[in-house]
Amino acid sequence: MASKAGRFRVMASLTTCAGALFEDQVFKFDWSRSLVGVPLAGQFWDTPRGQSNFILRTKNRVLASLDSDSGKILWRHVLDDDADELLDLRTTPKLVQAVSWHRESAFLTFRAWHPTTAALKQETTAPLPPGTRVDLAFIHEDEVNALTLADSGSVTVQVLNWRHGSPVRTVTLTSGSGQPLRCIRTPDVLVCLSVSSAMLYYTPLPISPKAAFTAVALDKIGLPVGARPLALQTVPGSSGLAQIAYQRQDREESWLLKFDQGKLKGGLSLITGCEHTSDILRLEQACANAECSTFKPSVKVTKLRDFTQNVHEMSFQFSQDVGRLVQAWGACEEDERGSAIFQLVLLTSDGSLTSLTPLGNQMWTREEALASIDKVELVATGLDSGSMEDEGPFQNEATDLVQQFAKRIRHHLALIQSTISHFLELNDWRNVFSGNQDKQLDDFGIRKVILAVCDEGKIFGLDNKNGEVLWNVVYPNVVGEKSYLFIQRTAMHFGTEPMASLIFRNRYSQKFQLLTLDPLSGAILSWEDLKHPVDQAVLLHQHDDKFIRPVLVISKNQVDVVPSSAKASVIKYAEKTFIATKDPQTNDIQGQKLLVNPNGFLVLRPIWSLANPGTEVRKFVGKSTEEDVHSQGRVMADRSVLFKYVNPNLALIISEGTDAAGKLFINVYLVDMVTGRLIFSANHKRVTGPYHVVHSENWAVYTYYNEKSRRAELTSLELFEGNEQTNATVFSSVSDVISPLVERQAFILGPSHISALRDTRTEKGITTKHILMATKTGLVYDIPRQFLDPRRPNMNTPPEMREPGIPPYIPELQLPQEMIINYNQTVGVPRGIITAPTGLESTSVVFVYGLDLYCTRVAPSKGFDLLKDDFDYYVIASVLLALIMASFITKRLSQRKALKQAWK
Amino acid sequence: MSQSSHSMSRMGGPGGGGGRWKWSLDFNTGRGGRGGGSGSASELSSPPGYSVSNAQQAAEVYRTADKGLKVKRSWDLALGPIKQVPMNLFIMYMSGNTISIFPIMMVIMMAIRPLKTLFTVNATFKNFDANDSPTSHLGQKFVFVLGNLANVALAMYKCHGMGLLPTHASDWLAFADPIERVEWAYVGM
Repeated sequence: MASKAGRFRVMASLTTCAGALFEDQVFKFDWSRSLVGVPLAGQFWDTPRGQSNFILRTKNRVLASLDSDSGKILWRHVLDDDADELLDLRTTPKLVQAVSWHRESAFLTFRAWHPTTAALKQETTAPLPPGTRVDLAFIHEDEVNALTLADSGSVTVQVLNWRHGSPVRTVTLTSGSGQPLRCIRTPDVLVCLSVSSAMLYYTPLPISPKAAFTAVALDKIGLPVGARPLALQTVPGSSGLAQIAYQRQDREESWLLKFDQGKLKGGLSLITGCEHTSDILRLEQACANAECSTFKPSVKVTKLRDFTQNVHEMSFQFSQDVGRLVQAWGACEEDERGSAIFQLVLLTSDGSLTSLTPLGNQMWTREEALASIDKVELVATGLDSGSMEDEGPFQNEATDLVQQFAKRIRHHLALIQSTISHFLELNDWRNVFSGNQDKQLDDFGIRKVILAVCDEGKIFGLDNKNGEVLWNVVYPNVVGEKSYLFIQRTAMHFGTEPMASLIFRNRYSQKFQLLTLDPLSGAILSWEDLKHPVDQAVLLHQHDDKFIRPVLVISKNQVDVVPSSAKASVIKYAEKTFIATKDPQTNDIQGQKLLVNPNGFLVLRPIWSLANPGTEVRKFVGKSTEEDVHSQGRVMADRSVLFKYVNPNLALIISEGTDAAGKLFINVYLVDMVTGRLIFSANHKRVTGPYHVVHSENWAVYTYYNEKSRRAELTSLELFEGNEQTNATVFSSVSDVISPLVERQAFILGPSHISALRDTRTEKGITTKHILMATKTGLVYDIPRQFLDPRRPNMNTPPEMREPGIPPYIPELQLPQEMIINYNQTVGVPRGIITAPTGLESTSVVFVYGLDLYCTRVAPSKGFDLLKDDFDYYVIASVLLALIMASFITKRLSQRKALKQAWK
Repeated sequence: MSQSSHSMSRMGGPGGGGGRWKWSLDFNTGRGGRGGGSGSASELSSPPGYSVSNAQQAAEVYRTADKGLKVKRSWDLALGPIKQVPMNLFIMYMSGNTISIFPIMMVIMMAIRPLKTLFTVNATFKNFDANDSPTSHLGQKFVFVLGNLANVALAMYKCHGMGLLPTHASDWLAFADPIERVEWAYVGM
């Protein structure tokens, strides 16, 4: 048995070793981009050799050091645990100190790193009483102050020793405002703001046992009448400054506070201190509206001494829309002649970092919004020759035959034109034969535009070839939660532009809005408010006469069609359209049918519901509507067919609950969404999330964490009809009476934390599927599906009983290193994987996103329709040429010989 | 058979016909010595072993045996394919059921050869009588076709044994179209 296992292991490693990469192939088909996330705070730090680093902490729980000359990442630390929160960062000449707070286990961690080598110097854990909440923590001298902001308006400060983490004292500061405060610290003062009562409270640092707040009303210190305070902000790099952002007449302004001293106001201005000097930098952004979403905004930077004396002035214009200035960090120096030398790093509301010189030149930029991608889609560019899609049934109604013919001719003319221009652009003919084959590969539809919507309200179009930002637009009020991104029209329809639509809730108005844009160029096509709050939005499969796939926007008791012109096509299919939703209140799954009521409105009528008492639905995954199942069965060893149970309306539900012993369990259901028929159910005890599901064809795969065995496990389900097929042409859930055979098997995964799971997708679905699995450690595995086959036979099964191509079952899933598609390009904190088919049946484009981005392509059945990457064109061509020449020469020779013979 | 009997009758010639000693050289047979004209031809002695009477007699024999021999010959030809069957069976048994180039080539030859001959049945039997109508030798032709068909069947059986015949549902699976769906259900999450 052991030897068999060994043999299998060898076999398993052999089958995959061809998937590995050669050294010269690195970054040939893939690219990666390392990010740090949108900064929360930063500090300049000068190395002993005089180089300047910019050390920052970000929203993505990252502590990083950037080279402030180039913007490159020097080192980066990511906090492992999702519950860990990075609260403060301080740089000293020899250390980078950070305080992090673990939400769930209620302890503070003090860590210190070496600023250049990033080596961990110190790690101290300070447990706090269970149930404690820490909202703010900062390091002051050798003490860590952990603040809990109570709803009553009081602030509890727990002071701990930096070295040992032992509690020093606990001080409670009361404000009596009755409202929770917002607090920040300046180097020497703790400042708190009560937004509702417009009062300011402050106390000097360190907080002594007898410390108390000094209260000041905002209007007393000169805040304009009618101003509504919004937030209290620090002034980085300054000594003793803070600013209050307030809103007045649709404008956001800020007020500078220097305690007992100066005050300063401007338009929408931002103040930053100059490190190393007592000067400050004032930044003013010219804004047209409250959101500051102008095209190419400009910033005026003024260096001030003693708040009044203007030392240096410059202005800078961004090359693109970046939103509003959020934060700025400056490092100043004074040279002998007294002229200003400073470096400025600007953070704008779109999450990008821009570094400026005193002359107003841009040193570097970083697009950090990409570290928090919320919704992403891969859009085909439609530049390949075979991209004209079948025009579908609606074509006849809209255009006649002549028009169709003319359209096709125009399409081909356009293709010829683009081919000619492509060749004219090639100034170096050597590129055609050697090295740069990327242009040729466009013919296969591998080029995609990665359409990414980020949490910062920025929408990107990235090139999947090299990660280049093709375009970006800023919508600061696009909010992440409850947003939907759909590709309504692809680029495959000649004469119409592709169309992507984003439905989201406006951050300010809380209204739902619809943004339609061209994913290839980033051009905004339309922008409208939706009438009703959106509960669900669903992209339908059929398209109308303009090839737009309609989106059903479901509100409480209203079903709208977007765009409204596509309503006719929705009504046409209404009879066959079913939607299953999760009721957010009762947690039931409800199946509904789309109906047209006598008034001509679309309504949903509930037809079935699935109650989950005591459990909460965590995953509800249907099959992709674009998926074709090209093989209807599996061939057995005896050459009979085991027909797949391919029910396209099947959904997999994972609901989580707590049992009597207080342990988590999950129920897994397979439900027909049309009839509500329960096909399969299973129960896993003592398991927790994260749950990931891949549901495709006739199989499903889901992962969970087994708490009892402390390991991640994967369960594979596969459904079969049997040896007979009831209906080979049409599947209807209503007339479906098949009770499928459900094969299932569980596997033990090596990596303990799975971040994302996805299947590969190909054009026709003929290529075997692989499962892509990203782990928290940043590895992306490419697992052949036959390894996860639930029909893997027992080890003791005699060879003649085994099915070809299915390895025997071993509980541990062997994941050799060659399966890692991102080799040594670790993807920091992956959160999702998205795949898209290409024009080549063998190839699928993979985009992994998280803190870092990684894009590559995989060929699950090897590149059966592609020449090998190292295909020797020279040898083949020269051999062919030599053969042709040889044939000519021998022909000539033989002719001569024949002539001579004739003369003899 | 007829050929050998014919030569046998010729062999009997010199013993019975000429009473002369085995060989003789006639130096007078020069061109000048002859008178020329038609009479000189009859003076030529017959080549050794040739007897005019015997030749006539043999032709008689041949003509009388012709009918029965033809039938016999044609039956031989008709039965040829069937006689090959045991040999083919043996070859099939020896070559085994593995899919490799030689068994496949063998099977193809086994199938192609009888098929080819099936198209040239009339031509095969033409040699026996140029004047005969195609309907002659019907029985032989029938048996001949049957034998060839048996060989083809044998080749098919071998193909089947090797699993080369698309006789299972699995062989047609790749040609099945994707199943159309009637209802469209969507997950709203």
